[in-house]
Amino acid sequence: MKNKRLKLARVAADLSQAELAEQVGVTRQTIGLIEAGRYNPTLKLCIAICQALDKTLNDLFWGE
Amino acid sequence: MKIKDERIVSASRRILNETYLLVMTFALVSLFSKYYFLKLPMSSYVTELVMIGGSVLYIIVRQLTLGLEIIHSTHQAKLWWSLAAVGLSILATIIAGFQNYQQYHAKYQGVFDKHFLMALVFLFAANLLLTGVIIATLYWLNRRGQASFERRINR
Repeated sequence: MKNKRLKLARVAADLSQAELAEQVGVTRQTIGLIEAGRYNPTLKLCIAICQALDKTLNDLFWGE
Repeated sequence: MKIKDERIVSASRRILNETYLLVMTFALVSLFSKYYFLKLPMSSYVTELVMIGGSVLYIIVRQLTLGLEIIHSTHQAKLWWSLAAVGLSILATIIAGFQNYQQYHAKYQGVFDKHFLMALVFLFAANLLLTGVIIATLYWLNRRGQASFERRINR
């Protein structure tokens, strides 16, 4: 299932996939795969992404 | 916040894991062929023996130090390990019995010669004892590892 909330939050923060990837220390492909719903990130990476986008885990990954 | 890409690390580990399984399979096939079909002396397959034995030992030690259970203490696990010990002993007896018959068939009066059957029973008992001792040692080491891990957690 695609993670549209992550994509929207990233676009709202005016970040490209590559820039977000750089901030959290992963490759652009990993961010792309998370947004496409084809990779299930660890909690550690979820927290790093939330911190980079100034969002909570509920906002991006949990709860629908 | 810099973190290593977990997806790549995980994929690399999976590749390494598959490579290890492939190498071990080749080593086992090579060992079996040299020992059983080519009848080469032990010096020709000692590398494979060290590779297989060393890596198995390393896996056991690492699992124990990390507090992972090698042998679960449930009734089902004990039953499975007992069946595995009997199965392995039967397999080893068949292989050794086949070799024994090839080597000494002139001295036996057919496959049901009582000396040959006695040799098979003796081989099976020896194999079962050896397998049992190895499994019991692993079980004991496992219990010790688990106890040490519990102490570390409680501290």
